[in-house]
Amino acid sequence: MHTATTNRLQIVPINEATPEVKAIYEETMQELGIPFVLNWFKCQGGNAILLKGNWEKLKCTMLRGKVPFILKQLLIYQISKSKGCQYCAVAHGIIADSMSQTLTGDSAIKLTENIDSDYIPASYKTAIRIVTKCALHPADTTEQDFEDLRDEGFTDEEIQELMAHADLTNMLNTIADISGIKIDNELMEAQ
Amino acid sequence: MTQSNLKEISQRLRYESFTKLANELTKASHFDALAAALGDNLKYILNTYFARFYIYYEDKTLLIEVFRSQAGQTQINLLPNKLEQEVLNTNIPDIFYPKDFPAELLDDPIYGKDKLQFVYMLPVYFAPHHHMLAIVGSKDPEPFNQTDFRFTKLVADFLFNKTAQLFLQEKLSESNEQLHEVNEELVVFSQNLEDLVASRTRQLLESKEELNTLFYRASHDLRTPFTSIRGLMYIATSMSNNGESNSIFTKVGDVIDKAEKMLNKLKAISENSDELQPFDKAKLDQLIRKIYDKHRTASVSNKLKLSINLNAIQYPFELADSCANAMDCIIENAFHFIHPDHASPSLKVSARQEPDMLQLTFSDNGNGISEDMLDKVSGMYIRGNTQAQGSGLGLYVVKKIMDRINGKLDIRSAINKGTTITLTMPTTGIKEKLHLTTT
Repeated sequence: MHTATTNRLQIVPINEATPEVKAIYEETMQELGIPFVLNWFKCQGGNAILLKGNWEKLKCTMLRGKVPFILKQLLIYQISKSKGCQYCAVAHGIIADSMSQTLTGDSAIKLTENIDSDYIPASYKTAIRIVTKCALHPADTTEQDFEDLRDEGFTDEEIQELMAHADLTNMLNTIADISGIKIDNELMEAQ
Repeated sequence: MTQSNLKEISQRLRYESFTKLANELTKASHFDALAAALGDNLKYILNTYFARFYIYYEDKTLLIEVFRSQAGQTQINLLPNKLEQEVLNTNIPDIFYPKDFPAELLDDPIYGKDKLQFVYMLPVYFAPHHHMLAIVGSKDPEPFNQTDFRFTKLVADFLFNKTAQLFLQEKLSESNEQLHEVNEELVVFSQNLEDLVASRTRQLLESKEELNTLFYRASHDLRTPFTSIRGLMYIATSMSNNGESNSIFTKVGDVIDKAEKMLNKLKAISENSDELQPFDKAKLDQLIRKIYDKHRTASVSNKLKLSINLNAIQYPFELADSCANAMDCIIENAFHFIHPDHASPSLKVSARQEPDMLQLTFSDNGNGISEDMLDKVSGMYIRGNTQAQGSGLGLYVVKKIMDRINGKLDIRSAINKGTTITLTMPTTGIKEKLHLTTT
C-alpha cells in the first residue's frame, strides 16, 4: 500500500485545506472526473497562489484545446516514462490504459505498451515521437519536426498545443520528483 | 497482446474521433465547415497525407480537399484527373502506387509528392446522379487494412449525406429568395395598382361632379324657356277664340308639364346641396297632402283616395329637402298605376319613428309590379309596368336620394294587388351623411 507522505513539502488533505485551496481541489476533481484529490495537487496545498497558477496551466493545456485527450495522456506518459518520473508515468499511464480498458472492456490491453503498433494511426505515433524528443531535448528541436507534424495534418495551432505538453510534462515531472510524492492509493486500486 | 485486441483498441480510438467528426459535420451549416471538420479529425481516423472527396449531387458537384493541415472546398475547377476519372468510370475501388500513376500526374502538386506511398480510391454509388469518389493518399508504406477501408467508407457515407442536406438547404434558400423577390415585385405591382385605382377613382369622381353640375345647371336653365313658353301660350290662349287652336295649346301645356316633371326629376338626381328642414307630425302631413293634391289636379283620374296615419310620430325631427322629392315620385306613381278595374283606388301612408330614423310606408292597391321586375324598377329608365306612363325615372330618383342620405328603399308588390314602398330615412347625423355623400 502506498501512502501519500513526504517530509519535503506539506501534504494538505482536503479537510485541512483553506477555503481557497479547497475550492481548487474541488475544481480538479470535477474537471478530471475523479472522486479524490491527486497527491500532485495536495503537495502544493500549502501555497494557494502556486497551486492556482499550476492548476490553471494544467487545465488549459491538458483539458482544453483540439487535440484528443487520450493522445495528450499518451504524450505525458511517454515523456514521463522516458524521464523516469515514476509518479507521472504511473498516474498518466493508468489514465490512458483505463481509457483503453473502457474502450475495449479488456483490462489486459494496455495502450501504453502498444503505441508503436501499425494499428495506431500515424498521427498519434508521430506526435508522441516528436513531442517526447522535444521534451527531453528541447534544444534539438528542428524545422523538420514541425514539417513532419504538418505532414500528419496537424495545424500550427494544434502543433502549439502538442508542444505545450513537452513544457507541461516537464513541470509535472519536476514538481512530482521534487516533492517526492507517492502514487495515490486510489489510483493504484484502480490499476 | 494479440493483433485482434490491438485492432480493437485502434478501432475504438478511431471511433472516438469519428464520433467527433460526425458531430462537427452534423453541426456544419456550410461547405467550409465540412472541410474544417475533416481537416481537424481525419488524421486521427486514417493515415492521411491528403484526402479528396468529389461529391456529385443532382446537377451540383463539390470537391473537398485536405492536404497536410490545409482543408478547403470548391464547387468550381472540379475536373478529376485522369486516374480519378478512370475509377469514376469503372466504379471499382482500387489502390494505386506512384509507379502506376500516368506520367502527367508526377507533376501534380499533390500526386507528385515524394512522400506519397499510395492512393486509395473508393467510388460510392447511392442513386442516379447521387455518387461520390473518396480518395485517401498515405505517406505510410503500410497498406490499408480492412479497418482503414471500413472507416473510409464510413466517412464517405456520412459526408455525402451531410453534403446532400446542405445542397438541399441551398436549393430551398434559393427558392425562398426567388419567392421573396416575386413577393416584392407583387407588393410594388399592388402599390402601383392601388395608386392607379386611386387616380382613376379621383378622375371618375371629378367627372361625376362635373356631370352633376352640368345636369343641375341644364335643368335650371331649361326651366326658364319652358316658363316663357307657358306664359306665351297663356297669352295666345287668351287672345284666341278658336276652339281648335285652344285645344292644341292645352295639349302643348300638357307636354310642357311632362317636360317640367322630367326636369324636376333630373334636378333631384343631380342635387348636390341638400338643406335640412325641421319637421313634426303636422308639417309632414301637410307636405304629403300638398304633393297628393298637386298630382290629383294633374291626373286624369282623381279617384285615388289618400289616407294618412302618422300617429306613431311622437317628436320633431329633421329631414333632407330631397326626401320631399322622393315622396313626390312615389305618390305620382300611385296616380300613374291606378288599377283600371278597381272601384276604390287608395294610397295609405303610415309612419314609424325611432330616435335616429323615420320610416314612411306608402301602400297602394294599383297595378302592382311583376316579381321579375321588382329588383330592376329602381334602375334608370326602367318602367315596372307595360301600362306605365311615367318617364322610367321615378323609383330611380327615389333610390338615388336614399343612397345619398344613407337611407333605405324597400319595394314589395304583387300584380293587380298593389305596391308597398317603404322609405327609411335618417333623422340624426344627417348633416355628416350628406357631407360625405356630396363631397
